[in-house]
Amino acid sequence: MTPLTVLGGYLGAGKTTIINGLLASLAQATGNPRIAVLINDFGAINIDAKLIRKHQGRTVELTSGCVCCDIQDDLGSALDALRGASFEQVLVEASGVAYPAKVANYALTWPGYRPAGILVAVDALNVEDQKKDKFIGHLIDAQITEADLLLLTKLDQLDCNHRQTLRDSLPTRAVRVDHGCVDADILLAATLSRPDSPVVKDHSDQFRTLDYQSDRILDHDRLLTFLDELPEPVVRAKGWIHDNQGAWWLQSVGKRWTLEPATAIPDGTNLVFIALAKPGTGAMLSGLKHALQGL
Amino acid sequence: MPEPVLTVYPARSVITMNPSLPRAEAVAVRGDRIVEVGTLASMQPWFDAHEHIVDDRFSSNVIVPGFIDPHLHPTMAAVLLPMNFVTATEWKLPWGTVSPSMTPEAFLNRVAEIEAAVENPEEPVFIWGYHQLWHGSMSRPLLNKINATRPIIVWHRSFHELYLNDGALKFLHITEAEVGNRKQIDYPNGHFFEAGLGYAVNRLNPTILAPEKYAEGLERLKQVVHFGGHTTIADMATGLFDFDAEWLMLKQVIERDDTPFRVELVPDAARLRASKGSNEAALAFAKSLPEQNTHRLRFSDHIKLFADGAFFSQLAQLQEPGYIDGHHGEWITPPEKLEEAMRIYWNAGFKIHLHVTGDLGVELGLDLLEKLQWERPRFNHGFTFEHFGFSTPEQVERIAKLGASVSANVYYLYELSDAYARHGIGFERASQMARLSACFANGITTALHSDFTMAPAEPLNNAWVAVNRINSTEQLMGPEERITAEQALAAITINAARVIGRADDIGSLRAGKKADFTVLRDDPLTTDPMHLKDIPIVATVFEGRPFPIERTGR
Ligand SMILES: [Zn+2]
Ligand SMILES: [Zn+2]
Repeated sequence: MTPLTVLGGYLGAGKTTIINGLLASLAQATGNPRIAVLINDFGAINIDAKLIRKHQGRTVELTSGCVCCDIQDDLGSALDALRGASFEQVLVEASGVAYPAKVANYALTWPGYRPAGILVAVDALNVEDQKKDKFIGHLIDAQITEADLLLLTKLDQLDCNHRQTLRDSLPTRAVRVDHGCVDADILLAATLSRPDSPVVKDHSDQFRTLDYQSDRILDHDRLLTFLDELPEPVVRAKGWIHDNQGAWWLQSVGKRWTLEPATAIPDGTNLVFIALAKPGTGAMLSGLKHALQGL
Repeated sequence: MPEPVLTVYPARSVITMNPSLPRAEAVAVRGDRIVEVGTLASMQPWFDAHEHIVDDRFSSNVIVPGFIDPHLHPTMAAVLLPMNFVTATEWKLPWGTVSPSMTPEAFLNRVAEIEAAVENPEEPVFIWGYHQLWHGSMSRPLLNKINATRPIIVWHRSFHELYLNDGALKFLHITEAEVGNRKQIDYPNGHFFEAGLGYAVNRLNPTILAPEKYAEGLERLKQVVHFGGHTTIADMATGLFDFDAEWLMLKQVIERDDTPFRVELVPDAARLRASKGSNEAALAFAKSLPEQNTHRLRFSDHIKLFADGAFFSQLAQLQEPGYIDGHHGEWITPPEKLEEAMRIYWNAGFKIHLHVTGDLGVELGLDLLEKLQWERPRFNHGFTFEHFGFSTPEQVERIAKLGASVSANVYYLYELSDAYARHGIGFERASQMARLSACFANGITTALHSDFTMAPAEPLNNAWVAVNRINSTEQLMGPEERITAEQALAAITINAARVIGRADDIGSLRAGKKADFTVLRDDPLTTDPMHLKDIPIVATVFEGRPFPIERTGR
């Protein structure tokens, strides 16, 4: 099943810049993963065409459907058209006024796809005003609530004391994105879908990683509890697992994780966790390692 | 060439909607225009100078200006009309009146009747109008009991969900292996909703949007429009599906000698922008469209924009206190993008028609209009609030002060006020949907539309709702907002003409205007208001040519 990632967020939050950054980052990845990017119709079409071609990818411009009935479904038609075209990842840019969870539902409905996370870009400079706006306040709140992982843009333009206030006001895991410098390995599920993909050691000073390898067979029920309770600084986890119920691929983006039955993977368990570097993150990662040893 | 002969139509009464001469006894017509409204005696100077004939076929009837629906969607109608209607409310259609099916048994019996009447066992049967409030639960097994092999497709009244039987699943190649465990598709019950609806619809589209089906649907729409007594309609979002395909088909089906009405075409700005690449390119294209006008099909300087979500889906954007269950509506267009587009069309002198359903949508429209008025004042700008579901009295005053018009879908009140009072927003606001008396009191140009297929394309039915405010459960809703029969008649004639920018030519009966009439058996201004919707429509006259209306009955 093709992982489908939704990128939501209001106008001006930098979705297009993030997409271009992701494509540039993918270009560095081994195996040159093929990605399809579906773009909504309100955005200016500024996606770098060369980058798309490099990934043998495809952009599809989505228009908002008919408002009174549902005779037209552009996103659905695009997903139908992409099926069987062996993309390793589909990225859907939700329109600025969309509720991203609604868009992500397509991954649950359309055969051949699985949800791979809701990313929501947040304009750090303007989000506090946007939340108070009488026309879009509720929408901004909903977009933030529905995100698995928030991407904070324009943080560098915010003065220092407002940064902490902002971080404290946000409910979920939030990654800083400066000028579209994003790492596809962190945001997208596709890059580690093969056992031969290397595990990225360090992403930037924003993150700390934990590698975990073991030959032990883990306990499935305890594993599920462990995943549900992953502490908030962990923004990404991935790798393969052997437990007493089978072999699995783990993918987590933000607060969403999935285990998929896996075949043709090496023995044992090999996981990487990526967490935001904050005071206490080192201790948290040691705690995770300890917990993993007890699974 | 000899001058065309004058034709004089005497009537029991002529209601002109011209305040300077509200009532008359006859209308004299030359070619497609009225030469005089008055009495046979007052017309004598014309008769002395020109040959004339007296056509007294309408002499026992009442002549009113031809009805105008200033907002419907021929394209959507063309998709819906080939389907079979099985509905909880009555629909008068040219090929028979759909009497209400109010219970689960009545619904299934009617579906079975329709199915049994179709000879070819492989032909799919499309049903539209299911609603759980009246028809209980629906499922694949229930439809299979009627016929498991023939494809049966049941659409919800809102068009936002559907049910398929075994035959339909097979016809559309939808298998359990493929969708059995997917969300928003209930495979055992054949139920497709939300994203799942899109899945089924994409499979159905080759059938329901096939050109021959679409042409058949447009032919049916022609009958429906005539049957409702219209002589003018407006397509209030040309290009909703596909601009070129729609325009081509309209030219083929509507621009014909047997079509007794004209269509004002108002392009959908968002769709144009998407296909032309920018608002500026879309504007240039919109400006060029009148060059393509034909006799019956006319583009002008009107444009359609969208604010908040569909009324039937409770996606209207509301101000405090919102919906009872705490959910929020949706914006179709991001407010900033709406402002951008509005400014471009405003500055180009266009008349903007803004789709608004909730009071927060109205608020956004008002804020933007006020801003544009401040930047670049315009008089007689024709800005129109379309649908106008929920509003506040204060907003009505602001609409008046900013010089805007209202084109309302009053049928919301009839069909939805009871359900919305109980399950949506509470009684107070539900009973004040379509705040029409306030609009008239504030001197706002106020029209009524059907948004067909959202409401029946029957102007007299809309007038009946606006005058009586009695809903489908027979409750009186917001009696203070009832309008008079005369106001209602204005809302479906002269005010509708104003809203679409054609008041100089149509909408009332006076010397010089197009000879467009609707001929009624009874007088709508003196009849019992509860009888308004049942007044038989005898004929229409379009540009001087009579087109009788046959009543068939089922
Ligand atoms: Zn509308
Ligand atoms: Zn409409």
